[in-house]
Amino acid sequence: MSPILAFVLLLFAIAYGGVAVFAFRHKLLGRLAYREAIRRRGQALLVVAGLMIGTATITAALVSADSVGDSSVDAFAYRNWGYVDLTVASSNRFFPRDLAARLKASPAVGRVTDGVAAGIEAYGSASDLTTRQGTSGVTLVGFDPAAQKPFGAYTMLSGRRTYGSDLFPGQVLLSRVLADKLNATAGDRVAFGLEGQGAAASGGEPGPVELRVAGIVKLEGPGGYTLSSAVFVPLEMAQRLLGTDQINVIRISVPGGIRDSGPAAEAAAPVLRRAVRSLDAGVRLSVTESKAREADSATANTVFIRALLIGMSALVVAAGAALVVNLIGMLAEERRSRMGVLRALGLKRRALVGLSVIEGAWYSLAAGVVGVFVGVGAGRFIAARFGRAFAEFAGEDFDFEFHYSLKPTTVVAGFAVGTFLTLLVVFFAARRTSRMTITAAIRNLPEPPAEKSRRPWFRRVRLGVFGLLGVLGIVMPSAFTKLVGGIAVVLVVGAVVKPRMSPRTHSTLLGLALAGLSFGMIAGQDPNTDAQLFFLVFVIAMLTAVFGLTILASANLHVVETVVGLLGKAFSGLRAMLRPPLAYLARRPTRTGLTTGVFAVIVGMLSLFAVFFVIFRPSYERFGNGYDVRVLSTGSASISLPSGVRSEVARSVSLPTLGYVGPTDGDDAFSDSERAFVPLFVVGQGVAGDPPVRLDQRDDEYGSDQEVWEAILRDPRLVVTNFGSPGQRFTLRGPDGPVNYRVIGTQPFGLMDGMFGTERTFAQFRGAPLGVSMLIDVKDQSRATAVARKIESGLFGQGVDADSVQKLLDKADRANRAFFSTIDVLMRMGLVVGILSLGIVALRIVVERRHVIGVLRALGYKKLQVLSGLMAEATVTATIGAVVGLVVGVIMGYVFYRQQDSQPGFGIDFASIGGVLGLIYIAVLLVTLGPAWRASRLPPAEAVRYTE
Amino acid sequence: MDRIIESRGVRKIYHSGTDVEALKNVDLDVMQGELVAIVGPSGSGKTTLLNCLAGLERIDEGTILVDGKDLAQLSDNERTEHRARSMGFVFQAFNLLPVLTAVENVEIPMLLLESPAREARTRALETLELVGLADRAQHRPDQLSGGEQQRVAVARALVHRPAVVWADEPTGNLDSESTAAVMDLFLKLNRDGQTIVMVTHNREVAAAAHRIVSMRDGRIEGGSLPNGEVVRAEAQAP
Repeated sequence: MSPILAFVLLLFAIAYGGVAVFAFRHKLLGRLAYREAIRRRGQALLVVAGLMIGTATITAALVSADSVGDSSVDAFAYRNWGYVDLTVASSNRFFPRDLAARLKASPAVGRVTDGVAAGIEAYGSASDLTTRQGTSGVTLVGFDPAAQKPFGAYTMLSGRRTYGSDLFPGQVLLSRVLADKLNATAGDRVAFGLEGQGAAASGGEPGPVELRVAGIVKLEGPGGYTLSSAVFVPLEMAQRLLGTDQINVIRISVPGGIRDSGPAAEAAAPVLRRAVRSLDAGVRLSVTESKAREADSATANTVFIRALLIGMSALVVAAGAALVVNLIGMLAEERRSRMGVLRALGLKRRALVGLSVIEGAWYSLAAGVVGVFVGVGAGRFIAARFGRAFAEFAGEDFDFEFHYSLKPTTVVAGFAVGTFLTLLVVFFAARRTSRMTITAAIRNLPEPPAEKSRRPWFRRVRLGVFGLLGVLGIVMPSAFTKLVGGIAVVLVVGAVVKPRMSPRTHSTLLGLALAGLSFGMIAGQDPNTDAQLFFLVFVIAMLTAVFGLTILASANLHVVETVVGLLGKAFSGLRAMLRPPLAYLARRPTRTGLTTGVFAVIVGMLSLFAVFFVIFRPSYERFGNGYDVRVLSTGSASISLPSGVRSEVARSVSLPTLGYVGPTDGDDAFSDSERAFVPLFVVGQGVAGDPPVRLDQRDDEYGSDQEVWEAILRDPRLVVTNFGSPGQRFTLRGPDGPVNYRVIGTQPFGLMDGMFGTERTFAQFRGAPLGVSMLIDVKDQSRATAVARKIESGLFGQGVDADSVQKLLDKADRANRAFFSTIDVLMRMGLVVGILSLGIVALRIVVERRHVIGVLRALGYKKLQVLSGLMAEATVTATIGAVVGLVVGVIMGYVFYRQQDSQPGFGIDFASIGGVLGLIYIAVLLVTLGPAWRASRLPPAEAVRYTE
Repeated sequence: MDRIIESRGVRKIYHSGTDVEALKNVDLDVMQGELVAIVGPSGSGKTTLLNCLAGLERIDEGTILVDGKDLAQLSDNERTEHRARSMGFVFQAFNLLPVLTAVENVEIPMLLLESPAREARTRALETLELVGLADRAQHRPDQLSGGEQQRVAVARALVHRPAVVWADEPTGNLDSESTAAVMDLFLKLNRDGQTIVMVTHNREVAAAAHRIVSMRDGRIEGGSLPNGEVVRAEAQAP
């Protein structure tokens, strides 16, 4: 059990144990609470439905986060590495094969390992000479058939299994991913481009070899190695292809199989290190716990997604808490007179709170059970969306299988956290509703104004301490304490100046200050640096901004009535109809805020995504920088375009490209990997005047893209990447140790993914596989796809990949949308909360305002006017929420947009937000129609009945 | 004087479990400019009578004419419109909208009659001045004393110049000083020609009326004039 789960369970036990003890000691209250809970089944169902939102949301977030984490570890660590647990290598250098045999011969190594095998890994391109298809980005995996057994057998699609020893000379195995790309089948003739590798290291020459496909292997066991385009070749054949008699990796397998070998690998690592040191190899060999480190990296990389999901669920939980407060308020109003009688009979306020909490505990537990089931379902749905998003990002290059994970500990944690939070909110809501004037409550008359505090000094001390803590928070370095401290200071200043200004001015200024503070804090945050801190700050800032703008909007609602008044006499009836609802909304800002805030938070998030859809959708012009076709070749250092294509080319640029394969380490949440492929694009002196790509973001030091490129030319430690953020560090492992870079600019994802630098920048990687990347400006842009096809078919022997920029742009856009759509489910749960809240508020109104409605009817309000007024109140509430949410979402989106300082277009995808708003209004009208109809049917004599 | 309220054979039955006949064949006439007090013990039907006369509740038998209109023949909407035009209400619990200021509360009847915003505001302020609360116009009910709240309620009942003001225990929640102030106001308005019908328990308040109608068990059992002259039940008209 993790410490966090233990802590959560402890909180749960304390909370519910405390309630149980209280109920046991006050049996009458326990009985009363139970009877109240079961008295009206319909009402109880409604309360349970409202209270289960928190548990459902938390469970959904945890279940989907587990699924993402487990799937990532399974793909990137287990399936990707198979039975290979550790590797011994000398960066990208080759070394004598006998080192593997000597290592295997060590008795100490033999005791802790299952298998030790010499191997080769190289990177290049592949062509199927039979189908005349080619592709780049292919890993050549050389394996030793004699030592393959502990690493498992390759299983072909036909079902045949092989360790490689039964392959004929020249026969190779293709991974399913590569076979799909080449359209290859068993028996096809194939060729590989592996320029610059192996031969240079050993001084040999690559020999011409005709290869044939022995079979297509399944992506499991050794066949899953790399999970991407790979060709599995017996070691001798791999050496011939590379013109070397050496190897560049020793693969090691330890007991435990594919998924349970972690402890054995951990135990084996020091033994292997000692053994490697004693080899006296003559080269610097290092032992890496490859699978374990990849598992750690995969887990770390999903921290961002976990933080995102939990952050988003926190927003929905906050909305759910507002709903709980509304529900408890509704119950309290309905029972006010009975509670007043109990108080008159001698029940203390504390006992009244206890009564509500016991009843709330029944509801919370029932809601927890329901919520877990709903959450598990929703989590499954979200996980499926993540699966689609990952598939979009990986495309056809990586076989990412998404698995749904449901762990008992997660379900228990979701239940415990959800029910604990619900009970906590119930407690505070009950404390609030227990304040009553007994005589007014018994007669169901409006509550008289609260008496002034008898201890004004206590309030002043409290404000002083609060303010001091706020200032302390501001001066501390953490963004979180700065935000919370800032909020505290604003609230204290607001409380101090309140008596000196009108309520409207006060609410307006306070709202502006809170919103401004929140937007300012978000502007200074980078989500890629510390995802958990970012989302914590984001959630608090979002809620604060929503709260601020909600009270600002509520306080200024009179503008609506003024506008209607300006429309003239014809609208006097409308004015009469609107006056009570607008006044109730404007002068009860807390209650208004509870409901509008729910909508605002959710609409805010949806609006933010609607902005993201636009600002993260690269425009064709910026994405392609004037180029229409991208050509990649990883097997040869030059591309000579087919003659039929040259006449269609207006201009082109070729960049020598080194294929780095190895560990990466960076500040960015997604930068850590044990075996990453990072293309290193080598730019020349002319790059500053004619850059191949446009930048999305620049380091603050540089005023233009040109300045960035000039800095790249000057300083070999600086790079431009398609990941991370300017200012972040990124490390590759060179032959002589780690090579550190600083990112000073980023360019769009999906076109030239990798790092840009000069020859000096990548001097340590000269021995890496050499390829070339080319961008082509086609004279007739509409011919881009046709030109790409022509290039691929003309150069299939070189194994080039050619794609139109439009195709790449569409792919990047699909990936973005798929990612954002994953949060959609949580937001829609939030919308349900908002709509339920309005329904509850409408029901509260019928109970609470019977008296007022009767008076209005007596004064001459027609039934239709009462009904319209209540519907208008709900609509205005939803509208305030929608407007505030839209404003917060768009401003937050603009803040993010400003961080992308080179992006040109700001906008909002109205199509995505418009539909949601339409649905909100329809749902709002539907849930309020019933209560409003009931209210309009109240007999006007209700107004005078209280005097009887 | 014209007859402004004329009720004949009014019966009202509440159907809740067992039928309860709250009004039994009630005849009552009120003349324009009259100040009538309805008195009686709890459960005698005085509030039910006021509700029926005001059109707040439907009657089961009989006729009620208020300002020339037979309430029984009007639809709910027509009765509501008739209330909005011709009647004003003052309740025991004041029943001001807590979220509106005094002037906004007083404006409501004017807005219902679709008066222009400026005219409604002007008339509301004038009426507040009439009840002595011009300086409290922007205060909300919770910032006013009980007596002040009731005077705002009176202003709201008068602002649209109704034919009749119904007052149900208008001094029931007030101390003696506020009671005196509200009654002075009623008397002043009545002197200016305002017809007022009020239900009250308070003998002193009732004594200020032109005529007292006494009820018991759903019937008008009689009444008296301020000079002490007893009026028989079957002749409840001045």
